[in-house]
Amino acid sequence: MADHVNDLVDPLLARPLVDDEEMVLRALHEPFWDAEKQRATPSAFGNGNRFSLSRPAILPESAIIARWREDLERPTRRLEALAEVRVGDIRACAPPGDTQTLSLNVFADPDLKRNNPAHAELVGSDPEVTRLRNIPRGIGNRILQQCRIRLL
Amino acid sequence: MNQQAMAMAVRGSDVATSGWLAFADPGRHLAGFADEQVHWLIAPLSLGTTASAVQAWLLFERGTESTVLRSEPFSLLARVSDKTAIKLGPHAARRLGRLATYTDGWDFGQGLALTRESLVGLERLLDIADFKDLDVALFLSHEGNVLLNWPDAQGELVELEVAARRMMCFIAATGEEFELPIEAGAVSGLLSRSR
Repeated sequence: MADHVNDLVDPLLARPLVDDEEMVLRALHEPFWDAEKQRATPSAFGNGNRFSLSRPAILPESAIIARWREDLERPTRRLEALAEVRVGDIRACAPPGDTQTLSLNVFADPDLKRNNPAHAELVGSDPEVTRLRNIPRGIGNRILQQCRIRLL
Repeated sequence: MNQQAMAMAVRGSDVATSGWLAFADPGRHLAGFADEQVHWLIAPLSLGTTASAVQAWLLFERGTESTVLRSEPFSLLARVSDKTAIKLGPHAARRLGRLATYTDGWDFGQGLALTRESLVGLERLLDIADFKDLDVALFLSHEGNVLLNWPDAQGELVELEVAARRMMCFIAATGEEFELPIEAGAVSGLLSRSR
């Protein structure tokens, strides 16, 4: 019975949760960030069900940014901003009350292929945390408003 | 020299002046690339050997591949870029050109390259919309669609994700998210709400 129940849970939702008190970082690179207008898009955290994050509790922020630069930067592309937010503040952006149809969770997701133990993912799911669910842009906008945006 | 190809190539150089330009040449293969990327003839930015380039283009940054609309005639991007410059300003046009250089997987493995369908939709939108006095910025969605957003009269964000014939709209002031056809009446109604 227990195995059968486990089979119903998406494996992406069975990973260890990151504690509510932890801070996480999101790279705001060019597709999500207009450096001249100093503006981001809510789609950096919404309109999808999985969003890549990093945990400064696992790797120093400078090392995280160095990895981002390796992954994202090119001679004509520079990473210019990041968003910093507490996990509990992300989770609090889910719709409140009994009618809740969306749960927001941050899962630890060490990326061993890229030698990145600090990788994590924000994932949208049903309230039972068994199935992936889209994070609407409105929720993405709420999360963005909780972020401290820092220029690099 | 194919004059049209030459003109577009010069336009491409505005996007990444330190890169290389590469042009489709169905008769040529280039080792080391995935199947869908093999039909390319790379030319340095001097454009000296691009005479046969007519079907597609991509920007190269040394040591990495960066595809732009792999199979799309570059006249579409150039045309939409021109209209973007007229309707939204040169900064937005530069952003569009740069967003077009991102390949599949641009967001840590997620995120599709800018799609032809979204460019077609953006052209349609620019043809019918009056963005005057709106401070519009361009972004790219995970689905490879162009995103336009601007602050409304109260400073709350309005965002559109543009597909070929429809757009997904988000109005932060009310929390609404809905879909509209890219048609004059619908677009005009939406823009008037955000002024």
